[in-house]
Amino acid sequence: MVVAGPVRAVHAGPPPADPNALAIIASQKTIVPDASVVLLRDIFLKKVVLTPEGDEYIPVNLPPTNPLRMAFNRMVIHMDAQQNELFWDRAYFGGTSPPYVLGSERAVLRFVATENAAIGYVRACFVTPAVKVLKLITLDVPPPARTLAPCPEASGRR
Amino acid sequence: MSPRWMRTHEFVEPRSPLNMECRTSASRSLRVINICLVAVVGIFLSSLDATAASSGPGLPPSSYALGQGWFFPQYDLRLGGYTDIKYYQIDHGKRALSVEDASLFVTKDWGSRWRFFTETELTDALNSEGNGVTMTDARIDVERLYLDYRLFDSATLRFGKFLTPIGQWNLTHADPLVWTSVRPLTTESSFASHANGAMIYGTLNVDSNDLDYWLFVDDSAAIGIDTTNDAAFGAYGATNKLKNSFAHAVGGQLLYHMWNGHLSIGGSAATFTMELPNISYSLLGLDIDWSDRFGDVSGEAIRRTSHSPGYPDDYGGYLQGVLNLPSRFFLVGRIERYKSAAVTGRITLRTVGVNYRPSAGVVVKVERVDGTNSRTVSPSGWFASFGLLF
Repeated sequence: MVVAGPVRAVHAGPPPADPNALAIIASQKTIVPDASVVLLRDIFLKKVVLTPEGDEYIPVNLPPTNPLRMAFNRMVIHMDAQQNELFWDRAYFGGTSPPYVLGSERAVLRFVATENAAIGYVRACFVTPAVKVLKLITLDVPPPARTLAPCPEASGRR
Repeated sequence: MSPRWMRTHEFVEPRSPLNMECRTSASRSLRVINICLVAVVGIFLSSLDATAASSGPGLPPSSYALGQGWFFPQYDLRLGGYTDIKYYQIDHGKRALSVEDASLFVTKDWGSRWRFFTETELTDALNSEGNGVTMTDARIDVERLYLDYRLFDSATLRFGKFLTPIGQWNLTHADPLVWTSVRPLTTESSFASHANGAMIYGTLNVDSNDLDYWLFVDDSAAIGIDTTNDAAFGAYGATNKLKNSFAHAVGGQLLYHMWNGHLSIGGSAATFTMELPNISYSLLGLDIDWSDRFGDVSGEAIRRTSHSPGYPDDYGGYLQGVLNLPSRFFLVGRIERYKSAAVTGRITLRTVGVNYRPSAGVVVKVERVDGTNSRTVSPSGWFASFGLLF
């Protein structure tokens, strides 16, 4: 279920109620005119490529087997892993490269914080003031805790 | 896809082991391949220069993933391609093993608006019909060669040689991307698979759904790049050698996605003149695709109307179902009816097969095709392939 409406991007504020909610994040400089699921889907499928300033959006994914990637595919892209794989095989044949893949939520956070027009997703507990949250999505199926790195608060790291 | 092994036996000119095909002359072929090579080398060198000024996004210097190519973020350059090995046993006919396609993709971006793409294919690299392995049919085809300029998000201009945007199969026809080794007649027999000219394409948002569109104009007669590789009947064992190359064409396609992208419905229209014989046609097509976690149902229908007396219309369609099985196996079934001016009687093709897709970009297929009135254009038999998108 989507808990934030299709509104302008918002800065990371007080900690969200659900630290395991999926936060769609962008760098503070990135302008996303309408953070609707439809637009986010089109950015991650590279059907929408240009920011309002004419820069290129840089969507970044987690690895295909990461439970957050699977949840993102299911709730935003509306494809399962197999459908997503076939979509990108076909797009690649047409000359469109799939989004970059970074290995962890920390890597996504670091990359998005420093790259203009980068967009990624991490759990809400990873969000820092270096990025802004475009949308918060409550996961339909909470990922098994053992499959993900602990939240920074839990591990004492940011 | 290019015409395959059979048609090359009927070419009259002697062919070198690596022979660049050309519509008009050998010198033109050489000119085209020279242009390609210079373009590729130039792009690569300019990429290297560009890295001095820009190291690209803060990503690893290069990465490789099967099915996604080798990406060099510093250069905005991606190298990749696909290959397939096929085995076929025509009923009461020959059997053969063939390394049919070895394609190399080069994709180079300049900033957020310009993109160069080329697909150069080594076709029929190796053939074995039971009496040794031969390379005599091998040749290099320029399958695609174009430059894209993104006007804005919903409109991109394309110039060069590209896949004709009629139906969905033709736009994703590579062996690792489709469900059967044998291509439906509906998707290639009544129009040229490639066009040479200009196109505008993109995606519009209509009622929160995506509407993909393509509009193209072709002038192959003037600017054709390597146009001899479009066979009207490219199936293995087809003895009909009719070519499908445009002289001139204009057309387009709309494809509307709904139900979160699980259902797509499209329509194509074109009017064109073929190169040989020089006949004008108009064409209408419909396509549909529904996919879910259980499988996929798709179909295409087409009608090509002749504007010349004595040349009848072509029309037909297929319906294909794919059922997802455990462990990345897929059951595939297809029925096709097609009426071609080149064949007496109405063609019926029934296909049943299995796919195994162990990982992204890898597919093994086995299928059985039974046809009626199809012997010269898509014969009955057993077909198998191993496809790799690399």
